[in-house]
Amino acid sequence: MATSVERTTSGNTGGSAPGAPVGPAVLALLIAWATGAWLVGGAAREAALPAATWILHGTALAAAVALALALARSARRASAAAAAARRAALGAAFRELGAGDLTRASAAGRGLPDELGPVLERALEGIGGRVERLQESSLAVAGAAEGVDRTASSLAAGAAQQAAAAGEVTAAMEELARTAAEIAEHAESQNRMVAQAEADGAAGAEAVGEAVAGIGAVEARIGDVTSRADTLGSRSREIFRVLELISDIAQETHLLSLNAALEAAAAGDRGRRFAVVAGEVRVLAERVRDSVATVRSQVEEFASAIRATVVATEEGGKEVTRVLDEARAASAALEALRGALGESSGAARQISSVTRQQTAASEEVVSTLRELHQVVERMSRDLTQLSGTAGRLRDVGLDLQLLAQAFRLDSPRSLKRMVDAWSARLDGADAGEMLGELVGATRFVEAGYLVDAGGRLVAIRLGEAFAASAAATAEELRRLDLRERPWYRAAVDAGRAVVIPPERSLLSGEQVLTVALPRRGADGELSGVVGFDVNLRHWTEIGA
Amino acid sequence: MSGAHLLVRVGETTAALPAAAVRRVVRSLRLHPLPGAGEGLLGLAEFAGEPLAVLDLARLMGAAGVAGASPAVTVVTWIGPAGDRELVGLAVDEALEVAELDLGAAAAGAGEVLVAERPVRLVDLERLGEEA
Repeated sequence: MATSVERTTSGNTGGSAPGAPVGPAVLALLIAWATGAWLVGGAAREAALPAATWILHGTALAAAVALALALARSARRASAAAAAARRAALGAAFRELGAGDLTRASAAGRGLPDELGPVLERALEGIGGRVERLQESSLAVAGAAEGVDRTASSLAAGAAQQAAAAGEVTAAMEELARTAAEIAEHAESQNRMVAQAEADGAAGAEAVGEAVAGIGAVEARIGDVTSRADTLGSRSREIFRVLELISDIAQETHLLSLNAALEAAAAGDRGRRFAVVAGEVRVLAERVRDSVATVRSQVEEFASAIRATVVATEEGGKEVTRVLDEARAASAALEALRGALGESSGAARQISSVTRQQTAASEEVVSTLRELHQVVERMSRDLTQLSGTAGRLRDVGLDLQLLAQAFRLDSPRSLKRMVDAWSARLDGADAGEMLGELVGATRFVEAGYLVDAGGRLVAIRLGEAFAASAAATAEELRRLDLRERPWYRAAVDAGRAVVIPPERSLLSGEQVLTVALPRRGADGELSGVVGFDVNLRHWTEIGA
Repeated sequence: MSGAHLLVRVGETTAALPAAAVRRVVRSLRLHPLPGAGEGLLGLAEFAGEPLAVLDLARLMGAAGVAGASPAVTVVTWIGPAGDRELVGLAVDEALEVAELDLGAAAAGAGEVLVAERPVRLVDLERLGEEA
């Protein structure tokens, strides 16, 4: 059930107004195909539909030519009486053909003579077959367009996300590059400090090395002194032995001098001079003894001094050894420190170098990411455009479908045949119950309804998918006079099934295409109109 | 009266022995102690192939010896009255010199003279054995 308020779909079926005879429109189309000037809209020719369209063109042209030849032949042969009957039959056949009803056109043509009947029949079959293929092609086009649209939309969304992600990554990489630059700077600063410390450490190590060498020399001297002192000690002992010997000799000499003196005394006057010599010898011996005593005491002092020196030297040596050990430990520590500093310096240089490389790499990555970002944005725009193109292609498919639906065919996809069948099923049945059954058998019908001759709604049933949104509005329709609805008028005016181009549904507010058929009682009077709305979101399921 | 004397030191005392009686001054001889001998007899020694009694002059003189110090010198001398002399060894700490003593300067019977301001005891060798 549709209003005439708005018509959003462009490229209608040859511009036929609701209620106007469909025949002339179809004939005009045939001519248009033959001259190749059919314009459904710019998009139609741009879209990849040439196969179906050109097949239709050719077939229609062939059919028209065949038909003209047949007509010419039959006109020459007919007698006056037979000619009238043939004209009547031909007229009926063409009227039905003009209305797009190939079934009835075929039935009307059965009364024609042998030559004409089969020719007409073949022509009608040819047209019907082409129309059916056109119908199927339009479905295929629409299906493909939907697929492209879905894919393009999904890709566009993905590309948008990708672009956003690329933007984020770019920012992160720029931050990373800045951080890397800072690290490189710090590493270089550290490197300079380490180099300074290394130089200081080298000077320190040299100083410690010199100190160690000096202390080593002192230690060697001390060892020398100790050794010499030991030598002196042993020499002192030798001196004591010599002194002892001298002392013994002196004592012996003393005793000898005394004995000589005694002998001299015994010799009386003659021994007096000898006694003098003996006395001098004695004195000499005593002086020797005194000298020995002096020397002994001096050597003892000397030996004691040497012993003290040795002890002091040994203690000094120990101290020097200790200092030397400490100096060596300090030297080793300094050396280890220098090694560590060297390693640290190497590490700092490496960090600096690596971070510089990283900065360069980051900048490259950032540049690449920016390019990628632009590419992705372009791709996103292109995909959006592709999505729009797919939408237009779907519209073209719908136009083709509507064009095909102008014909009534013996096909499950023919909406006019379908509404005829509905009308037949309603005869003698409970309208509501039957409508429910019929609507329930399809997925594309939004609503099926029966209106009486007074324009009042007799029964209405909503499709399962639309019941929730349209139920409240359906009840309001019962208060309206529906005779002024375009579909009602078109059906009554045409006296047969009509297909109304897409309009906004009163029920769901969505685009629908309405199919309507006038019903007549046994007396031939109009008893009402039966119709259904095909929701355009589901039109590709027609006949499925 | 005067004469040559051998001056010896015994402990802290200086004694003078008449040089004529002294035969030899030697280093301390090796002594062989005699069991049951008197305090003045230190023992027997060998001198010129003959046994020789060695007496402690310090003890004979009643002079104070130096504790712990063994006599370093033995004076071989004749003692006893003339005609009955006996050769003995006198152990002394030190033999000093042979000197001429002016005995007239000494107080009679005092047995002591001054030599270079120093008192020297005269040892009467003829009577030394008696006291022993």
